[in-house]
Amino acid sequence: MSYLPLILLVILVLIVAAVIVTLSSYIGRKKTSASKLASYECGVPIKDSARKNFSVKFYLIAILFILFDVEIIYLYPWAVVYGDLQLYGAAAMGVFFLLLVIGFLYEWKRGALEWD
Amino acid sequence: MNTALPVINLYAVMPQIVLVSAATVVLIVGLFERFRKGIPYLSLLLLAVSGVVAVNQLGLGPVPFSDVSSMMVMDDFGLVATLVFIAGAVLTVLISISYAEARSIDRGEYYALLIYAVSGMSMMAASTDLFTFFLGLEVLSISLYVLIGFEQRDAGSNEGALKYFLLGAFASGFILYGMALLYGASGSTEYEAIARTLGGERSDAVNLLLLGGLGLLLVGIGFKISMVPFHAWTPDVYQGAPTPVAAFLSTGSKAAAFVVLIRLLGSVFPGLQMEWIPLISVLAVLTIAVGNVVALVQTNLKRLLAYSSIAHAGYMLLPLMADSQDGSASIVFYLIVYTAMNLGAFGVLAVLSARGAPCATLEDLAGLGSRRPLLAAVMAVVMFSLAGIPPTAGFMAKFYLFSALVHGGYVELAVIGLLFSGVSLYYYLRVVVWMYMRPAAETPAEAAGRLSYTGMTALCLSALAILAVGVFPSELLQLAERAVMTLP
Amino acid sequence: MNHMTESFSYVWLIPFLPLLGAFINVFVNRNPRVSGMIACATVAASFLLALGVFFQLIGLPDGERSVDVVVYSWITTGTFAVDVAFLVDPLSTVMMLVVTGVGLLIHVYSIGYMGKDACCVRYFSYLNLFMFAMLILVMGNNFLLMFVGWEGVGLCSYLLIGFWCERRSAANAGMKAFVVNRIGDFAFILGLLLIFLYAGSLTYADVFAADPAVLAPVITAITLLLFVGAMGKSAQVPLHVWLPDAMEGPTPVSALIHAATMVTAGVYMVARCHVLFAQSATAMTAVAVVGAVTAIFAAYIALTQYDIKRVLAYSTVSQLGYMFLACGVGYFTAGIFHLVTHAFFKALLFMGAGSVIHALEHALEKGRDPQDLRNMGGLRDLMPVTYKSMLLATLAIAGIAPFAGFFSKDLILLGAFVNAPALWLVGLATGAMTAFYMFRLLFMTFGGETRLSRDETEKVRESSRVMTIPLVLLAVLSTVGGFIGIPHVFAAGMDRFGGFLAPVFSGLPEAQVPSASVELTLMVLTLLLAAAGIWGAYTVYIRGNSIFDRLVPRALYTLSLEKFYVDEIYDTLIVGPVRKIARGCWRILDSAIIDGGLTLAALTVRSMGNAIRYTQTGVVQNYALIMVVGALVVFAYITGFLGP
Repeated sequence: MSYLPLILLVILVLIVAAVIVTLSSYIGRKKTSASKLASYECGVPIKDSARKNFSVKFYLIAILFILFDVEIIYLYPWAVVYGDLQLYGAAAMGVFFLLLVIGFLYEWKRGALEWD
Repeated sequence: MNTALPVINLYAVMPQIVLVSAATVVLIVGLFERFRKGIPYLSLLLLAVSGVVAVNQLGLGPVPFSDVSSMMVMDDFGLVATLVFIAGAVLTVLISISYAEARSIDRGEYYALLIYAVSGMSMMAASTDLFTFFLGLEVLSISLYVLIGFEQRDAGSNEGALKYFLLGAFASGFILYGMALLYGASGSTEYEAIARTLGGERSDAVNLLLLGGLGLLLVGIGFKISMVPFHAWTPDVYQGAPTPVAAFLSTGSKAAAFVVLIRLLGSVFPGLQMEWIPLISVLAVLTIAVGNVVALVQTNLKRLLAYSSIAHAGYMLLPLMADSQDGSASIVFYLIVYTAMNLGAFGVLAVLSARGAPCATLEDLAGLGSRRPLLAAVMAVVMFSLAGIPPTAGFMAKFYLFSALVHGGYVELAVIGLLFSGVSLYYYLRVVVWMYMRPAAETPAEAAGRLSYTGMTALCLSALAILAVGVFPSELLQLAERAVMTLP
Repeated sequence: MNHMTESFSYVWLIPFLPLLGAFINVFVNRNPRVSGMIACATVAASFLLALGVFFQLIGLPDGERSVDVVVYSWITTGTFAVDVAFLVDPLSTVMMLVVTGVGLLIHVYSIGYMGKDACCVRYFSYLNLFMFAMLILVMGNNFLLMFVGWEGVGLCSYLLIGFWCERRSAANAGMKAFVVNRIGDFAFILGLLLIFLYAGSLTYADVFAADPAVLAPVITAITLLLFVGAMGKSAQVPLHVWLPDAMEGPTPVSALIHAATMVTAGVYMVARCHVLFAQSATAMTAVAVVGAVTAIFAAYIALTQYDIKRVLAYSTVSQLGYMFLACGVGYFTAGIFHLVTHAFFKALLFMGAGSVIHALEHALEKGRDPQDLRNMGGLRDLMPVTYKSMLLATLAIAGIAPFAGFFSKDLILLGAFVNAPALWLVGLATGAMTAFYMFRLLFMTFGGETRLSRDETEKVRESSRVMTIPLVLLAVLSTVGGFIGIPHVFAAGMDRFGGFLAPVFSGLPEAQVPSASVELTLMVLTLLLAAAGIWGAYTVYIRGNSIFDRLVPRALYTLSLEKFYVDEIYDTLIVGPVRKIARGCWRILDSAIIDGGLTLAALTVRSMGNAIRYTQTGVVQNYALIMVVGALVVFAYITGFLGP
């Protein structure tokens, strides 16, 4: 029962959103032109289709970035209680970082960071 | 604020630590081109070291990893399972060497991932908590996704990897959802806590959560052991994967999932037997039936072995019902034997198709008996063993399995299992018939020249082991019995 | 007890070394020259180990000369437990020594005889495999292990009889041996089942120690069934028909399997189970009567055969009959003693015959049978070593003192005289016939004028050293081998053989011994009859006297020559009808009902397989769908929306 307000809220939000979207699509005036229908690219004129192949290297870099980025998140809670953990905490994080560094060295040596 | 630090016992997870370190070392050394040839042997050495570590811990009794929430435990059950995985990995490395070299996939990552997979399986076997179980499962699965697709230039390999990845992720989803339900019911992810919740008074709602959680876990684990109807990926993936990887996939990952299943059903969910026994018995019979019946019409060897492995998973599900030490021991015994048999069968294919065209169909085996007598003899032993003909280990494994089932009072299931086992004779013996009684094709598919020494060593070892266990089963049975003794 | 078991812990090597040899020859070795060496080396090692066992055993006090050596717990399920365990006692040691010793000589001989055969690797691996099975048979400490060996030697015998399987007669002979043995084996299995049912164990120690009262209701059935098994293996009438045909195998095989070792397994088994047999007077009588009948029956057939190996084969059947006669009258020691001496001289006779055949094969013109006595004669000077050794063996089998056969046969006849005078007469007559047909064989082969042409004579050569040395060694054994068991009447306490075996047979009642004068009279009588047989053979085959042609009715001669028509009778009475019934069964039962049913079942299963295969679309979305549906069903079932 304690979840009832939450459920009500969810339902309410869904209804409001649906109503607004529906209303605006029915009521709103539609005056279209080529430049209006074009995709928005920071105000610069469009040069090409967005549906084109990007080099896989972009993805590689992106994935590597996410990996290391996510790992860093572990540092926050650790840092908060670092005082209590003392040597144990330092050692545990040391192992963690060792593995991370090995991973980094691995991608470096494999050439994942080289563009060409 | 003062945080109470848990007392942790690193010794309890030493085999897993050694395995992970081993994999990492292999990964690093593999970066250097000049060590390329030595990588497999380094892997063998490190696997052997981990094996020694695990052997040394045998019999030292259950040691939990930590005092607060045990997460993992070192007991004979997990250790024996780990040893089986390590043995499987050693054989896989041996049959991989020439295969990987010929296909230029003999990179450090290949062997490193193999060992990472073993570490994941070992984690699963030792886990006493849903978290560590899932952690191990994902370490295993992710390694396998990559390994299956390791032959990047081969479309089948890519297809297999993608299929296994998509469906595997799907199965992981089921498992996670099931875990969430179990957590919701018991407020903990520890096996012990869940078992406690099951043991005490519980409301209908909690009961429903527990049942639902169990059901979803069964779906996810059922996927890993290719239980019908979650088996559909098996033939496609085995066919596409590099043959040694298929061997590893059909033995190791299946064995790991079975080990978890024994621990879960035996020590966590006995309270829900009324619900899961009928379910598992129906699914087991279906699995046996579908595996054996579809295998009859296969001509591609890897697909044939895939369906055969489905059928064997069905046999191994049966003694779970018996809910006895004997039953669990018979599964462990069967798993060990099965590992040797299936690695042998896939190994023959791997060794044959190391160079040249892959050896894929029954026709490719025609005349093997005169062309490669030793290899054909190994294959014959393996096939006889898979079919369960004495004096091979396969017979002893089936014997103990079905006798445990009969002792548990499930005579009708034993009869069904034996009937389908009779059906299986047809397709196993057909392989032997093709090897010995059909004339060879004008130009055999496989390349001429000598076969890989390491591969042949592995194959002869497994064939000898199969025969030895078939004649002298006691020691291995005692090991299996000792392993399940430590289960609560 | 424990330290003793440990001090014998190496005995498992004795059977396993030949197995290792077989393994190497099958899987590793491809070189025909090496294969014989490997086979001989493993058997030689086994022989040395057996000697070690022997000397270790005589170092122990009498009462402790029976040791169970558990090698391995083989099958353990519930109450049923079988160990791979060996029994080391005087009886098994004697058998080990005979099997490995005579076996070794025959292995060496085989190098010369078979070394040039295209399949000699296969030959030596079979031969080694046989040694393994035979040693398991005699060394096991339980009936199950004995049965494993029993079947194993049967299999090897089958394989080796049909070794030249491209010859149709050889393949048929192998099949015949197998089928006839099957009859005996079936009875043997039934006997084992009864033992297990009533005694609750298959271990010798347990079974023999079982309370006679427990076994009483079935003891006659058990012993008779076991004896039928022995009759099959040891070729006793009426199951003797396979042994003469078994001569299709290579001659060393005949010497090893069908003379010295395997065929004596039945005698060993009866002796081993003497505790059981002694409890049933009926069975003892049956053993004695069958033995005596076989002895004279086979000897009678042997009188007229022309194939050198067939004469020896019937002679073997006859001598085996003697051994059973000994067991049947309670003289088990005599039976085993005769088994040992017979192994010496009969192996020698076969190997000598093999040497002759080997020589004639190369010498005779095409189309002339090198095994036919009518194609021989006068070989004495051409093959002196073979001749001399065969002469000694013939003297031994004829029972001439002081050769080996004299002592053992004398002991058997003594036992028969004391316990069953009628059978003693049969044995006596057999002795005379034995002397006759053996000297007939010797004279026709080596004596008189040669029946070879001049060209052929020039090509006859004495066999090579590797073949003659085993002959000489066996000739020595045939000559002096009897002295291990000198009868009491000559020298008190010199019966070493009987003394050695005494602990094994200690449970039996003390044998009655007639007075020394009676015993000596019997010996003289035996010797006189043997001499008469020799004289008869000399008169007919050297002097060419046709006295027997005039005296003996034609019918009696034909009956012997045609082997009492046993094969023909079996063909009409048993084989023919069984074939017809089998054919009928095959037509109606197998072809129509079972095959039809199976085909139907197979078709159904296959079509099911094909149907399910269509769910295997290869499209990953479909697989996911199947999974989801499955998961939903599982979920619904387990949470109770479906079913219970």
